[in-house]
Amino acid sequence: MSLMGRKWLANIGRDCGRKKGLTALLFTEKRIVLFVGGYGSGKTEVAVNYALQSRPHVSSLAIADLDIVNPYFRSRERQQLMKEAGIRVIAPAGALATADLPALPPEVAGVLQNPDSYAVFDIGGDDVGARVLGRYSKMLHPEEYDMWFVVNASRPFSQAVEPAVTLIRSIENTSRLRVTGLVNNTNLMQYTDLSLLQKGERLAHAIGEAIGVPLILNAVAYDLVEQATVVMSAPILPLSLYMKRPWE
Amino acid sequence: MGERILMKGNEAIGEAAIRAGCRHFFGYPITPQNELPEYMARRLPEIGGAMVQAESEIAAINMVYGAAGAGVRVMTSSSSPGISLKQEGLSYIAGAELPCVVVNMVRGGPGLGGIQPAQGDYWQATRGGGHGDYRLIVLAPATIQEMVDTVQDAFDLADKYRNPVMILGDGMLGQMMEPVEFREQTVSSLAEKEWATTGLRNHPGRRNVINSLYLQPDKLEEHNQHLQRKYAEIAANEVRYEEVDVEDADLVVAAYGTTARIVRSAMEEARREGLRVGLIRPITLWPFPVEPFARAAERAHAFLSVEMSAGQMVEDVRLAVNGKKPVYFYGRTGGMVPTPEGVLAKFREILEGKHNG
Repeated sequence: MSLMGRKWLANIGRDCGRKKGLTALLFTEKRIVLFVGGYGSGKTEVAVNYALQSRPHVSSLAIADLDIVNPYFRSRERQQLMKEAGIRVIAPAGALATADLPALPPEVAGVLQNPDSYAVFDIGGDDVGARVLGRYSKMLHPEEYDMWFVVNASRPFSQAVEPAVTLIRSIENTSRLRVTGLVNNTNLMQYTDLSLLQKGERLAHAIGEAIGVPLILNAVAYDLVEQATVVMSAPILPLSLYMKRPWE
Repeated sequence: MGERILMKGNEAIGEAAIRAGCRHFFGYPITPQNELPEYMARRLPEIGGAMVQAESEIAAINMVYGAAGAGVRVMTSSSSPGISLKQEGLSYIAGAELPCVVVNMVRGGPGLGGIQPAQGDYWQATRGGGHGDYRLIVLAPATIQEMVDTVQDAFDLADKYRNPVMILGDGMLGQMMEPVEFREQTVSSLAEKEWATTGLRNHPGRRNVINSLYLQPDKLEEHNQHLQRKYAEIAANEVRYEEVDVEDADLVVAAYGTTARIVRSAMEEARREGLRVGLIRPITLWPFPVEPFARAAERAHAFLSVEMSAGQMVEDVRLAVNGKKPVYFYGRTGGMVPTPEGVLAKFREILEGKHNG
């Protein structure tokens, strides 16, 4: 991570008023964070960054890739990076790693049932992707998990409160879990600017009001973080873009 | 100018098709193109259209045959193994001269292969694929924005020439996201489809028949000659390609789709090293842009075709260069994607004369 990254990490640690020591993930006291959201809302990029930045604050950390609906651009592709950062990757192994089959590794239940383990879950998109959580719902006690809904206001079917609330309700139905917070990941890649970030934050606030949950964080690419801190109200998770395309 | 939105390639094709007037879509699931039928299943009912998930790819292409015969704008999509199943239908559609758009998000083959991106269906797309003397118009966009623009073009070309058009992408283009803009479309002035089977009350006194069966050999030859004249007209008028830094290039690279973007990255580095490398990016794979290659062969020292295949388009490059200069090949298969570094190493090898074909 760059020096700039470390600086922002330090700021975030202060901003969210965390306790000293290896005690908790960022922005929550729960030990499990599940990232859900619309298809292509950026859950993987957010989950990977969140895990890397949470790592220094907990004694051990796993990231579980439970995306069984998307064939490409999944967090398991950054396995090496995670391992180097001391994060255990739980994902289908071997030949199953590049498939889009509903094959779930047994370690998932292990992490959920061990009261001392911290874990970040990257879940597939829409209610279809969240269905995978249904079978684990009985292992997830409300005091142990947060389920954050990632929203990108530049994605189709995600540009207004009503469709987002409908999607949140269907994700809650198929996962048999509750959404406890929102993540604003609004971006248009190279065309992202401050006004777009603010538009996304307004939408996220409005969705949050509609269902009675808070906006937990804004995910913002590093080059815009400094400006964004001035104009955005919720805390910022600076994003390094790890999911590269082959020509980048 | 429309608002920019972040879309996956598969979704972008769906929205672009709807904006081009497509209201009928018939498909069958296969990775990595599922987002397209899913998008259509969600959007088409909202606007009075219909998406039918058929019982197989063969059923889907024959539903396309029927809908195209009735004169509506119709699309189907699949990925490599599914496109193989559609070949019989495509031959019938080409024989009956019906307009439709078929999308192939190519994955690694042969057989079931894998689900990662590939370009190994070039021959199938450009040589006919099914039986008989016929051609598909094959378009190969390289960005999601170009995909959006290509879809309108594809429907217009299909209607203009009464011919099936294939959009040949790959898993990467289908799955990746980029910002796109849906531009105001100019209304294309296409002839009314007087041949469509819309019922006698719509064309009184004229029986329209959609058919590809000609039992008399002289009539079938006449039909073939008519098709060949049409293909010659398409080849003369509809070639599309992009040239980058070809004027001073010692090495001219041929690449399309995803691979062209990887070549562009490698070219930037090559130019920094003082290697004069240019790119001809075919946008129509059939008709193939023969002329720019023939022109470049007068000046450049060598050619290189970079593909996610074991070497297919390279044959068209060789035909176009016509023996004037050596044509080399670099490719990856099976869902492995070439890296800019690997491509650059091949540039160096050729330009430093250490090549072995």
